[in-house]
Amino acid sequence: MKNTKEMVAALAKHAAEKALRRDANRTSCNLIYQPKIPNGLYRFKKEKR
Amino acid sequence: MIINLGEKIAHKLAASGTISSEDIDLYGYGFFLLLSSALYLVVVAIFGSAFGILWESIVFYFLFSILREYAGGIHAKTEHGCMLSTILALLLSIIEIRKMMQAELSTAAMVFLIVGCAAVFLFSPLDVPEKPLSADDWRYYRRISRRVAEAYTLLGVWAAVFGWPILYSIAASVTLEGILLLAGTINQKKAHSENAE
Repeated sequence: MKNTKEMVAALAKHAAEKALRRDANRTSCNLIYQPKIPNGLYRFKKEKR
Repeated sequence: MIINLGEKIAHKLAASGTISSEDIDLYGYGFFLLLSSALYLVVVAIFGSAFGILWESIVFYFLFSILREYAGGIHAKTEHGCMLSTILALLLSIIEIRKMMQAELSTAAMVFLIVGCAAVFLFSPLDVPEKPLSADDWRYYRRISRRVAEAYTLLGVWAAVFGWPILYSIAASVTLEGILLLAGTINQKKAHSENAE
């Protein structure tokens, strides 16, 4: 049970990181509401272009 | 609403030690993005099924999302405003796809596609004060938005030649993005002139 919870938590974290990485490298989110971006988002930004 | 739900999930992850407590806002924002995208995909699937154009609606949503993320455009000031305007915009776009498909308005779809692409070329990328772009980012996203618009135009022409119904989904996605860009540009100009006074 504990393992399952840990696995779900790790998967959720991974999914959120994917969304953050995507958002950090885009102009805005695809929705019509853009909240103020959190400070740490730039950690997910790609350096080279 | 969704932003609160995202924060709740992030708090739970922090409590279990999966993320650090300093990152609650960051991961809360990540969950907000995930949950909102999933919610609107479900909304699109419901509208698409109701109008008998499920796949065309889902294709429209994905094409619109890709272009929207690079080109930007107007954003609602509140989450409730966003929810209402997004659902309304999606509904109107799906009705537009359905009407064009029923009447086989491929010429009108091509006109919408070209006008929408012109708006992308002229006004993108359009950032918001909540997520400002640097000059380098602006140039980079302008290039990408234009490439995406070009790709959609080529795909649209190809679809028109072969009579594929994907043409209507492409036209609706570019039209909606064009409208959001135009509205955002007008809004930005108005805000600038009010600040100057």
